[in-house]
Amino acid sequence: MDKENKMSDQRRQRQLQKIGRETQAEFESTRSQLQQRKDYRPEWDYFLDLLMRLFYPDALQVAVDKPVVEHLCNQAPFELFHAMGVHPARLGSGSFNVVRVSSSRLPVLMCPYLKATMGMFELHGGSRLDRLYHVVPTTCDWVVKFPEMADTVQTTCFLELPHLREDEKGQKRWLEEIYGLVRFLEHQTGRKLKRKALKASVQTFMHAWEAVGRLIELRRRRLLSGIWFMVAINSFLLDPIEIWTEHVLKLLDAIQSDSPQPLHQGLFLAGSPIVFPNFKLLNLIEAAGMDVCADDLCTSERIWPGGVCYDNSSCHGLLKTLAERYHRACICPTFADNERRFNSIFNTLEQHRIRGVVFHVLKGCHPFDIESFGLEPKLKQKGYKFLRIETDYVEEDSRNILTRLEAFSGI
Amino acid sequence: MVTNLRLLTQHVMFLVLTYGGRFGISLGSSLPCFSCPYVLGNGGTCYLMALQGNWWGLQMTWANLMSVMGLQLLTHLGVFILLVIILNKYWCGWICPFGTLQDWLTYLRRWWGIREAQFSWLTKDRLKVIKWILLAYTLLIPLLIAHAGWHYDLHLPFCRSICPAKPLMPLFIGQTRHLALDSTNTVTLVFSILSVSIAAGMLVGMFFKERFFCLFCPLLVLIHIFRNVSPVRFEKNVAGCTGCGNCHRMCPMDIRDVHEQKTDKDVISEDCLLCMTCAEACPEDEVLTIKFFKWRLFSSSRKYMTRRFTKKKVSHG
Repeated sequence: MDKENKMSDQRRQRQLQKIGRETQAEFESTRSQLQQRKDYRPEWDYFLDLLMRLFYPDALQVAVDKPVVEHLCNQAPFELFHAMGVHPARLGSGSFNVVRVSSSRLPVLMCPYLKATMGMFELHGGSRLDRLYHVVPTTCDWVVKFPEMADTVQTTCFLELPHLREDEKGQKRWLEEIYGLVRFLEHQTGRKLKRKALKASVQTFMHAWEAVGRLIELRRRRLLSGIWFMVAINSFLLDPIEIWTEHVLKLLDAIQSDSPQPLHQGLFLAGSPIVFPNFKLLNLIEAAGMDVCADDLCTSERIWPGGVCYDNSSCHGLLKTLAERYHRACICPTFADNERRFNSIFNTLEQHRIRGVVFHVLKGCHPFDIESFGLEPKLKQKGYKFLRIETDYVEEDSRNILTRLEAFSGI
Repeated sequence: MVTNLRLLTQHVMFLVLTYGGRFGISLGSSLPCFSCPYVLGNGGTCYLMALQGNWWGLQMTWANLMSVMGLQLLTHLGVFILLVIILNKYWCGWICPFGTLQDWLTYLRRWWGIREAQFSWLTKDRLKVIKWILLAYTLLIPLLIAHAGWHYDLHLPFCRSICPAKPLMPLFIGQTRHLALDSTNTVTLVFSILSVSIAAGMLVGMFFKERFFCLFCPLLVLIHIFRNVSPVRFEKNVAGCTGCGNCHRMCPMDIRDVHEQKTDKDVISEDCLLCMTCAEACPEDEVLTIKFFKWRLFSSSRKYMTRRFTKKKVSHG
């Protein structure tokens, strides 16, 4: 029996090593494809290097030189982690290869984004010793069950997300959850949350928000492609925030000094998250002669639903501000009172004269799947074009998607 | 920056309305703000006193009303309405000296990092009725004195028993006598006890809660009545609102209506002071707009919001 187990373990190790090599090749190949693009510029290397940290998590640990807290989704305030002297890192992977690590032990219909995340988690199991704790807002069912499947429940702080945001009860409950997160972080780090540190942290992230605002503006004017925008945004929190912001500002200066020409026809990308190296859909959109000039993906523009402003600078006031910024302002489809999410899409379409929306649904991503059916008639009623693309972490459907995108582009 | 302009206006108007009379300035006695008539040497006075009084107000008898004094009443009322129509809630957020005093207390609290008191949404909604009760109290008692034979010692009921500006604002000219109790008779004693107690309570309330007195201000209601005929407009592009809640959180009056409005564009509510803080804090382009007739005075924008709430230097840590 022991011999059988040992053999099985060895087989598993060999399999992990093989997938590890292939995943590494996948990351490097995507990076090299990006470097071969016509619109590549050396300033992008910094961001591409950061994206490689999604495969080499220890590099992030070394770079930030402080404990790393892994979190899922966008509802845990980054500013709070920063003020507590830890670095927040978003769990999430776009690797197609790494899904194989975990797929045999997970439901077939599970969201591939989380399957890949789980795979990456297992692949680097041995080198994640410094990541002692995790923060998980209870957004969708897959996310809620993730710590259980990853066997990290003991080190996880769950933030029970009220799915109604616009009533007082929901807002109060969420503020309590944020206080719970403060207690969790204080317990784990042995430090007390200081008002000054929180204020400074808010300012630091406001600078990042400001820089990202300028990047968004460039993309809206079709002067920055959707793919490069995603490269910049995906690398957020993969380096100390101050350094990342400085590089974004340098990049902005470099792009603006070149006075680039407007790109292809712009469209709005909504739906499930896209993370490096899964740029399949973005590449196909470009191949079909279009470009993403706006989106509401939680791994892209939706990381910053609005700047943080406060008039009550007490610790409670700052925490309340952050709680609202990350809850009330969040337009994740997991919420029940979500009509403003549609408002936000319509407003962007109108303001920037975008005529079409591509809705990306990852198989098993139920909130977006459900929402696409609500959004489609509303958009069509207002005369916008809508295309729903349901896909998985596979390359096989690329031709089919490209044909549909080309037809969509021609309408 | 709107805030700086507002601060400048508030302070200039505080000086004009508190000390202006000493320099020959007189803006009349029909002002729609708490410029207290008990401040000697003021530059203009609150209309509430005139409204309650027997010279140009509701305490006027029928005989006086039919005389030249009736015309004076109409003149004062007309000037008040005109001022309200022209500037509407700007009187509250930008001019009212008692509002400025409340803002000073708020700055002091913030400077000390003391957390603001919060009311539940239900409590906040229930408090709204107090303004109307106080307005009724302000209007009815003078009428009852004039026409139902109520005792004259009850005159100026709001100013003498409720208004916290009466004991507090004269302190700015070094006058403390309105803090004393008036024991002439039972009515004056009760009025002065009420006045001093309410002022003390309000002082504490105003320290812990921004614009606390404005929650109960009957003048705010009077001004609000004329909102539809005023050229001052506060509009929301409801389609552009992402619901971030900045407007609600930043509002000194904790007004939810701007955030909650999802259909109508008119968002000026009963408690609104037109301080424009919500529009400054709104991160969406042109979602909140303040207009005068068709001219835009201010529109929210991401750029403005970023400039307003981001300090210049990036810290390295």
